[in-house]
Amino acid sequence: MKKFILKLIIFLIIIVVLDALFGFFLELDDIAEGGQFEKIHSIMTRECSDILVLGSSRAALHYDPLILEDSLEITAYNAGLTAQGLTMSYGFLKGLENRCFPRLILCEITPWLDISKTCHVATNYFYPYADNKEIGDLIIDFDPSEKVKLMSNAYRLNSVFTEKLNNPRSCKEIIYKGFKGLDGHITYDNKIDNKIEDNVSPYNTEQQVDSKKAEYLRKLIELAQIKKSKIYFFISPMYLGSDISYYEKELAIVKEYDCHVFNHLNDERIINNPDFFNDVIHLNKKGARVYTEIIAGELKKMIDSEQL
Amino acid sequence: MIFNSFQFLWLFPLIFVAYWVVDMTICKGKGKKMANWLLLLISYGIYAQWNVSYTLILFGVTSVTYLFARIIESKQAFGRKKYLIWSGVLLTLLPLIVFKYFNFVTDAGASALAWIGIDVAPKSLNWVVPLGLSFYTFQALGYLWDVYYQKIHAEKDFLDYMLFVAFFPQILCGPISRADELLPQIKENSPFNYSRATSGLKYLLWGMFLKIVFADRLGIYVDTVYADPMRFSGGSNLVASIFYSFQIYGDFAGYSFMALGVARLLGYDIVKNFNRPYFASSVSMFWKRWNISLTRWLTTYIYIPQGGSRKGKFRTYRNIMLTFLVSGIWHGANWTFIFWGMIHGLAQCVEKAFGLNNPVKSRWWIIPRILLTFIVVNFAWIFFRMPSIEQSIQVIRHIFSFGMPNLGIGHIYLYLFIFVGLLEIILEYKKIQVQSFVNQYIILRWGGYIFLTFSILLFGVFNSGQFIYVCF
Repeated sequence: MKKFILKLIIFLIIIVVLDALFGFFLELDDIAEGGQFEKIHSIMTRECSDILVLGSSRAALHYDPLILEDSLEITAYNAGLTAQGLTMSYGFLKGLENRCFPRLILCEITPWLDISKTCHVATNYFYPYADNKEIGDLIIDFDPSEKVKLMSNAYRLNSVFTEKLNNPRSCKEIIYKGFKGLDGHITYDNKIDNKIEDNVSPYNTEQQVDSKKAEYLRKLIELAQIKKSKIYFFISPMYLGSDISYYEKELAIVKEYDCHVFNHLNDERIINNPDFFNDVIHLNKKGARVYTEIIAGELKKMIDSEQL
Repeated sequence: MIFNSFQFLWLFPLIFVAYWVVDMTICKGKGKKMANWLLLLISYGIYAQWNVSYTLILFGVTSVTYLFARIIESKQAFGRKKYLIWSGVLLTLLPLIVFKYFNFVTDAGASALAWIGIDVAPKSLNWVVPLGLSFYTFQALGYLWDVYYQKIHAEKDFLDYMLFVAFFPQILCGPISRADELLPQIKENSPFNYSRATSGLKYLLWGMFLKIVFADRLGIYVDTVYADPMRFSGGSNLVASIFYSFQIYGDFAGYSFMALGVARLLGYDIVKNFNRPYFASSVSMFWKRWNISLTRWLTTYIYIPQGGSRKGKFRTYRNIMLTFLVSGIWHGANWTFIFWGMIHGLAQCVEKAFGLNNPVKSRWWIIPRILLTFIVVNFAWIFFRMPSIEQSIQVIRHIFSFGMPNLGIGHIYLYLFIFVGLLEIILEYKKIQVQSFVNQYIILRWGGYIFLTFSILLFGVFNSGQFIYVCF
């Protein structure tokens, strides 16, 4: 038994030492060469634009920061994150809070990611930044056991390394100002579209609200208000439109804070044109350009009237 | 407590220390009573953690089989024993029938009645099936039959028997142990054995890698495609089907190796449930390498009592089909599982008819045979994975549309296949067990352990995903 325990302890010491060395020698700046992780790393460590776009892939792919910059004459960055909702966006705001804070926050509403119980919050993207207390608290809030797991440097880099190993080319891809539009265009017929839409909307009016996610949505709005930033909410178009009732529960929360909502879900200038869509829920580059121009115009009017 | 959970990481070392402290101090030279009490408490505690009330079912199955075995052994006349054994079997199976098959049977009954024009709304129970119910029920039933066939004596010590049924490393997903393997180990004093414990750790590490890195990574691709197969090309569906074959292997074999490892760390040897099944050169051989303990159970208590292969060709084929019908039903209350079982049964009948069920001797012929077996098993897994036969057929038809994969296959899958594949090929070729990590050089051996540990930390999926076989 003594020999067994001794060898086990030696093994554990080796693992701990190697793990510590791993953390000591590894520079996140060197790992973050491009792709999604570079985008996250940039938001968490460098980014300081006046406008910040937040939300899911619908935010990441629909809001061209260059058009926003040209129209509004202030700097912009797209911090939308594929398959993630506004809970992760709250983490981004916390990550840059002590460095600088955007004057204008544009949030894309995606209820099935923002407040629904169906989708998982990928707090693992934040593991490398867990030393930031606010970020660490957010991670632990979703899973208290992470407090112990995050003691491992290798574990902290789990998602980064997996992504790099999985997709080395896209991990070197340069994403300018957080935006990289899609090149495809929709090819389905309407019948299949409707079926797909049913499938990609894993929520309905009966959706179960995740109280924790809803709490983070409230925190996000409150943080923006404390920092005296303007926060606007958007619903971007879906191919052939969709039922607004899907959005009601999240809209109810947003309206508690009197936030303005720009609803383009069924905007007929866009929704019926398959050339604007990559798939049913995502605009392609062309669609994103048209859509961003529309909302930039609306924002300009709003800003002028509110004298931001 | 699932082996890939965070709870396991902190709780198991405590269990290990507590068990051996009790064994080496309190039990020293006085039998294993206290250590067994502790293990029983832990086993029931872990089971209760999931649902306290379902421990009553576990206790019920244990008590019924214990009592019936005692009564059967005490009766002399064989005829009376027959009534007793069937009463015992039915009572033992009752929770399984109610929890797992009630809805299936009522739905099937209602469909049959609807077919002849009688509309009946089927009653359904919204009860969650107790975890591991199929496994511990079959283990207890095996014991009962063994007593009936006078292969073993009925166990007198209820505590020992309770531990045999509830032994925590194997209660959730097996393996299904035989009484003559596990009960003697429960009784006999087995001092701490260094080589057994280290082999246990190796199995634990390898099982964790298979589950957390290999199976769960593949599962991400599989789940994405199978959530809506028609959105993806035939190529992606084909890739998903192949990935699923390896996912379920990594998942179930991973669990079994972890169970084996945990048991060995506590001084117990349980059956090794997997032996590189995808190297099988026939479906019959596949079942000698896949879920070995279930195959053994079905052979012993279904196939052989029906006559096995001793009563002519027709009876042999019938017995194979019957055995795999039971196997399908055991896996789940759905026509897909029955169909899956039938495919395996049919494939074995065909192999037997053409004499293809024996091991291949020619080195050149073995590779095409392995591939052919894999194709059959792979397509059968589609029925196992999909929620209905219609959807399974839809996926298979879609696969034959031969489109290129339109869901990116990440490089990580390639590396995983190369690593696990090469390792398994070497082990298969050298006829050694993975737990050995056999190498005379300590640097290479320890390098292997460190490599696996860091692979788990860096590339593992850490959401404590359930093991696929927990659902059975």
